[in-house]
Amino acid sequence: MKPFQHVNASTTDEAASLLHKSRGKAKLIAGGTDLLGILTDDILPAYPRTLVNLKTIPGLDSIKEDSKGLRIGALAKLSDIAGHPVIKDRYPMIARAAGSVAMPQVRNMGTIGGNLCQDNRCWYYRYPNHLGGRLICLRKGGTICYTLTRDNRLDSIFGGPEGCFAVCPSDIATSLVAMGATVTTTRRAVALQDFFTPSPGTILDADEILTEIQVPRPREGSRSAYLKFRLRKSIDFAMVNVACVLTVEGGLCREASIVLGAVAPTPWRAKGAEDVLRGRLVDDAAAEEAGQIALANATPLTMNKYKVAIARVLVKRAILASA
Amino acid sequence: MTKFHYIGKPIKRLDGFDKVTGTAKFMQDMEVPGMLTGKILYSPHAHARIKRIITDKAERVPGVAAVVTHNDLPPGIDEISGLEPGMVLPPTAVPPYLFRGWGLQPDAIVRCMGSPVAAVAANTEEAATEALGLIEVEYEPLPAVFDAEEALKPGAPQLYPDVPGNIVFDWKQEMGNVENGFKEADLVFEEVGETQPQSHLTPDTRGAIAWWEGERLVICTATMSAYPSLLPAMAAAFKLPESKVKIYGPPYMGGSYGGRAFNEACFVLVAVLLARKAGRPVRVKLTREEDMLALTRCSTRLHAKIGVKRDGTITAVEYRAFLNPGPWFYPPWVNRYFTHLFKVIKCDNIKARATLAPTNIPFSGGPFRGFAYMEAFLVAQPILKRISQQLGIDYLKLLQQSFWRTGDKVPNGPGRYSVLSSSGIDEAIEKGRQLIDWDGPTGPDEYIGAGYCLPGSAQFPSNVILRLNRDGSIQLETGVIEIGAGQYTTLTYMAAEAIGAPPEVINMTRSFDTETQPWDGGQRSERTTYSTGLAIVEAAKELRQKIFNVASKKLGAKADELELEEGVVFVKADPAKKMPLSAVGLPIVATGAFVPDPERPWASGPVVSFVRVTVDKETGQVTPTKLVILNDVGRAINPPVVHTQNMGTLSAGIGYALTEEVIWDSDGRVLNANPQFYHTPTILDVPDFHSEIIEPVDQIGPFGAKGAGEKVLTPTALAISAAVYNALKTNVNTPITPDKLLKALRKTE
Repeated sequence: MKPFQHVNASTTDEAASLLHKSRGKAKLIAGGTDLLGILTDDILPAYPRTLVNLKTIPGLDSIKEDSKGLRIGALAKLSDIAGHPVIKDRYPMIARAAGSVAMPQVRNMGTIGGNLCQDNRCWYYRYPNHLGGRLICLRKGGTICYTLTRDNRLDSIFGGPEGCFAVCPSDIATSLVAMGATVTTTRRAVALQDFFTPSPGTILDADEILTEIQVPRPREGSRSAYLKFRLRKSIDFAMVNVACVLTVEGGLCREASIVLGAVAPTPWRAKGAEDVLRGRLVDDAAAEEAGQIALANATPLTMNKYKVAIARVLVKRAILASA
Repeated sequence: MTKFHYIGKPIKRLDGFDKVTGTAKFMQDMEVPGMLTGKILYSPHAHARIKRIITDKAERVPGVAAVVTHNDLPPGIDEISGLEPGMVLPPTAVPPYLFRGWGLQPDAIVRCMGSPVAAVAANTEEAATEALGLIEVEYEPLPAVFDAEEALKPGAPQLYPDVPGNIVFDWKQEMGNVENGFKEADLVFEEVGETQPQSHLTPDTRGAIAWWEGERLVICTATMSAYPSLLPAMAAAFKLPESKVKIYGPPYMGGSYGGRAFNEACFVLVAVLLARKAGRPVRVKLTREEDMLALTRCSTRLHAKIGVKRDGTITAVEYRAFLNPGPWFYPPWVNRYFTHLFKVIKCDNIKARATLAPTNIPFSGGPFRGFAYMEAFLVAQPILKRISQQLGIDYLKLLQQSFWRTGDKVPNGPGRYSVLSSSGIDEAIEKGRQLIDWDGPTGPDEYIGAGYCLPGSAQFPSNVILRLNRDGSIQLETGVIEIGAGQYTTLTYMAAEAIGAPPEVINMTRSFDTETQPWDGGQRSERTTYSTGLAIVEAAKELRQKIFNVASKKLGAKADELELEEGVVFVKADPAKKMPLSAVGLPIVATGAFVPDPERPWASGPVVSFVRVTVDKETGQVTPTKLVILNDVGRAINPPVVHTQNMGTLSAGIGYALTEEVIWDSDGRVLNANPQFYHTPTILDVPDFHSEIIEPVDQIGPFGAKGAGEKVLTPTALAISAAVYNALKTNVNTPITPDKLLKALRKTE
């Protein structure tokens, strides 16, 4: 690592102002579980001069519930979310998604805001500078997306609108989007779904900070399921994850929300699958059909067709699990 | 049965307290006054000529003491052979040039991505890193080749001018008459299989501190092979007698898994060159990512053809193997692999040809748990699955044809055979069948598999010194380092048993030191308990004799009338006439040696794994649900350690079968040199397992002990692969990841 300044912020305004003044030379640090890897591997051409510490801002890690729903401060730790009694009781999918992230050590440090804002995990983008030099890919201002012609087994099966095929790696984003979450930043309030962009990943301006996540109360009688497919039972990012929220009344599906993660540059809403379920009896055939429809438009690359098969099955299973 | 005072029962590990309290010192903790930090600059190309390298700016960075490039190499370094005593090569083989392929190269050609091209020593890591960024290198990229079979084709990029056609090693051998064997066969099965490179991923990464004291070179590093490999390599590199090179280790090694053997020389050399130029001690400690690039298991491809009669009798076997070590040379590896090919499937008619061709994949071809036999077993044995299925013969029955039993002459080196001293294979199979419920029901999507192997062993000498102090305590000197497998405990307790003194009075010197500790063949191939153990038994005999000679005067009896038990010397016929060891009153020194003898029976223990897995045919995921390991270790000196060794190694077997592979792309770039994308199993991925120790009577090893540990990897990976075969009815190359499994399913359906 190279030397940098470390500044403790006491308010979000102060932190935003430090970002603004630095003209791109400062980075935010919360849990640091993503940032420290980026700095150690020195993957970006620009190295920050200053790290602005958000952990010193009081109250930014609060978790509250009122009649409207859940409000989670951006600095809330993933382990606190995974173990929170109210979240486990009324928003179990969020607890499960938070608990599926990485490993206990990372969940004890990592925050929900950091998880949503984390950089992508493309292994070309992340190639360490000290092992022969970082790669200046399309996302870093270069001209090539390496995954297109090389090893793309982990990449998007739904294209790359900005030319970058890296997937959104966040586990918790998938579940929050399925729950209809909204977020507040120092500058605006938006639906979480609109918070993500293919590149650079979020809509955040260079001096904008994510402060809070709001999750509306689930509909009466709704059920949810979150499935994460990975090689190992811990540590790994998802190869595919699926979050599904269904409201079933009298055996028929009234409302459906199905979101896939790690399959596209942003969380991928399976609208076609949701539509096919509405008003239908949720059985094997319906779930199977929804899975087919969810992946019908997939455009896998040379090495990731298997992700299509896995995603299809996961959609089916998530639907059946939440019926 | 012999009654033992100290061994064969659960022993508290002597290194346990140091490790759990954090006082154990590893390479990471080692410091020398005034030492500098060394950092390495790596090649961005898989194959390129360094046209120009300018280091002026780097040298001017404040705090930088030295910058080294290929221009700083001692002359003749690329001609130094790494052949160890006792290793046999066919006459046509190119010598195993130790310093070629990875590291600074005298011909200024980099031959893999991530090979060092320069290094810096500085006061701080920051200064060294800054200086690395200021080294200007101009490369002329050269065409690269990444596959051994491709490298042998006409027109393939050539790696070394003195290795025409990229043939480092090409060896053919035939036992019996293969042509006739195939004529006798009713059916012939053919298959091609591959094994992937695996990363050692040791808890502690490679590191070395080096410095010069005039013309004397001192190196501190955690190697498992100081005496046979690193010492002669460094002495040859700097034209010094071995007595002027001191290599010592930290008290503990943070795991080796095979990765700290002869290959260490390439890496240690960087620290030594920096130290020479800086005139100060230099410490080079690799990051996790660097460490993962610095050596992996060799990747192989094997074409196999097996002739078989309808009753399952195997009549002929033919192998054609291509071995890809990256740009490195290590023909003795092929020698081992080649040898093991002849014993995977037992048959009178076997023909094999193996070719080792260097390529531009990352530095590979190094030893790994199951050194060279794992690769042979892992491809050849699964073919028996196909045969068993097609002929409708129980797999275990078919497999049993290939078991080596007590007294069998086992192929052990080119044209050499060794008599197997004992084998608990039948007991292992019988127990395993029951424990896994082989004939019992299986759940939905559940499949059972079994795997077996007979490991190889490294036949290297060991020497031991025992010193009796005047207070009756005893110093045990061995040249052995604790790599985590319980060496200090095992050897101390064997010494206690052999001498007849309580383990509490014995102190085993921590780690090796080529200046002060006796020569040992290294902590590899499960050889320490066996080889160093035999040397201990011999030294103990001498020590007892010398003690009796002194005590006979004091006790008024002849030396051969005396006995020594639990630290008390007494007259056998009159135990009341006795004295404690402290009453001997004289310091006494005794030595013992183990020298390998190919004529002597060979103590090697088979190991068997049984597994139940579930196969999710929709997602392609394989999940082991139960594992049974049955390990013939001759005698377990410390049974709990054998069980923990079984456990540690079975997880690497699961990883090899299902998730672990070093992935490089079409450019030769390793994409997953980090523990996040390199999927070694976590504790959650290890299923419920049962570890069973098999102890047949063995007359060869110390107290009947053989080796334990690394051999469990091979049958575990094989058992999982066999279980998956039952699900798919086709063999899939390891690691059996969802993409491969789903593809295989599509083909068979």
